[in-house]
Amino acid sequence: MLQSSFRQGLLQGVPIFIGYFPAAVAFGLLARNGGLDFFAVLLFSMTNFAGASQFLALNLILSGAALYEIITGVLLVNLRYLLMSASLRPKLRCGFLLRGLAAFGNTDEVFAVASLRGSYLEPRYMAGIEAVAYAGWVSGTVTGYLFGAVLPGPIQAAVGGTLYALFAALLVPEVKREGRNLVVAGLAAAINCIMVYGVGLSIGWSFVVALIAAALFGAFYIPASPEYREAV
Amino acid sequence: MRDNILLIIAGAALATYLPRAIPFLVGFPEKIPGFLRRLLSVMPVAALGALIFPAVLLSFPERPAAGIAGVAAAALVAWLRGGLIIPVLSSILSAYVILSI
Repeated sequence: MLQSSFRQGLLQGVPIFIGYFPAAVAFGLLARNGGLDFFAVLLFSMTNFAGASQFLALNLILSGAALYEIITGVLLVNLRYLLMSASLRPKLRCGFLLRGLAAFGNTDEVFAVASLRGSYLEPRYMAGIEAVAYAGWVSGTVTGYLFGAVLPGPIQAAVGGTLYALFAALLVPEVKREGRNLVVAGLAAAINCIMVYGVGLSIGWSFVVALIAAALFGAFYIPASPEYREAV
Repeated sequence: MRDNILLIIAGAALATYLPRAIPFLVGFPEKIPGFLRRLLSVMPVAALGALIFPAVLLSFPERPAAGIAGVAAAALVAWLRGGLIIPVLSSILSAYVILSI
């Protein structure tokens, strides 16, 4: 039984592996093209294990942002995990250390799959799913760094846009679920563009301003659809 | 540069781990006050919008249209058939086509 929950975790991690791998390849390639050394890039993926915030941090590093701008941006992007972890917490029945370990791998996709599991989350199940997801992220990063450069120029450039495609593909189901989300995302994008092109704010701070302004406006001034309001 | 990059990586790791771990370790009210829940629940969507623009235009400085085509293709395919892999591959393909014209 215990054995099989580990295997279930491994199996349910496979689609996550497949999704992470190309995104991590793009990360490794972009980081290499940006001049980061292999050790730093590997350490980045091994210690952060985060999609959106790693790309955000990388963008900010390459644009020469200051340390505190980068950390503020990363923290804001990651605040959503407070909600996700809070909702998984009651289903975790294991000791402090195992919970601390499980938290490290609680990415968006791991959360999405784990939260669909009806029963409580055995530590072995979490270990299985997180190990496979982690393997995809780290091996993709290494592959992108070492072999991404052999791709022809235009394909390399096109892969550089992978991240934004991933963001768009994550956004679409949210918009399908709740139309208001398109307004919030569009507003954030518009504010960010105005801050960068119009005001000339650095991309670190403009991201922070756009995120907070759009989230505040969306949460308090744009009414949710009735079905959605009931769900929350 | 080298020391700085390690500091950034460590700081980002902490800024990622803490939000994931605090609710697991010290407990976080499952019933979060309504206004905070509303704010946190629109945060990811706002983040996605601000992550895409204008960064996607800046990442294709020679031909921003390639970035727009890539995002549009990914959104369209995600809308029609969902998933992440096929939308991402479609975006690479369409950006590649625009870049090679």
